Amino acid sequence: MAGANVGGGEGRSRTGRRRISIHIDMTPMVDVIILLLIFFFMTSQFKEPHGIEITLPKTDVPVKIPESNTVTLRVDENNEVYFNEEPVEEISKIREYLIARQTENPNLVTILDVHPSAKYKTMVDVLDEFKIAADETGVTKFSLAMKREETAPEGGGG
Amino acid sequence: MLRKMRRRITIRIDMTPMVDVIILLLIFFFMTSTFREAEAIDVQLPHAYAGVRIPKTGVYHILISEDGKIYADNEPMQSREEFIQAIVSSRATNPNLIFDVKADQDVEYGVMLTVMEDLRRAGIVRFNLSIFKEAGAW
Repeated sequence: MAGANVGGGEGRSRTGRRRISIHIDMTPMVDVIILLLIFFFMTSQFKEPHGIEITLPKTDVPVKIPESNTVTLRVDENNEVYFNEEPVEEISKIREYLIARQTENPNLVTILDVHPSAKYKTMVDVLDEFKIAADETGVTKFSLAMKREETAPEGGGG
Repeated sequence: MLRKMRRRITIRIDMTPMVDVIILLLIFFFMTSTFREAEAIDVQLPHAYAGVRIPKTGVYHILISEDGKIYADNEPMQSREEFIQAIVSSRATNPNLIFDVKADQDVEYGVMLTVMEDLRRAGIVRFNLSIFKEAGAW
């Protein structure tokens, strides 16, 4: 403050005053900031949500597909996967089969025939394999067989 | 003798750099974080490699629990009709709504079939199946 000089000679007040080091205790602030940091750390979500896109056909009209243009991926109630009725031991093998078949025949339609009692996880695993193969070959058409009674396949593609 | 010679030393650790770093971290979290939305149930999403990003806003979430209970926008659905009704009315208010099915990985596929059928009956032919993106290339 300028008023500090009042009442004394110029030089005296200078030397008479001690340099005051101002110390603000930052500890409470740091405490709060760390708490905030922990809060943001816990509540924030880094992983962005991802999804597999499904497009169902608009109409109920079944599309006729020649038998030769289809492969069937069947999942039974025990979550066993069959590729054209041949059991698949490892799900990650499916992509190889599919890529081979799709490069052979670009019009190939993959039919996913999943038993209603099978786990959704298995269906996603198989669908994932299909998507991986589709990324490789560009063949994106697949069909979800909706009901066992109805033979009309539900087309889908992503 | 020795006692007298020694002065009491106050140890002062300069916290300023630490505080600087913490504040920077705080700002970083503040800017980048998106809050986890509160959801009616905890769903264990299936893992998959393939998958596209879903926008964070304008998404209508359909949750399916492990035992097959359906929650549309965090509201439990009692019947299929109610579910279809909820979808149709939400679509009417916002036609650009993206539908996202978050189903538990252990749910029976039959439940998914009925949900997909209901979605189609409600006029939704494009939707997402939420997955937990597996990191890494295939």
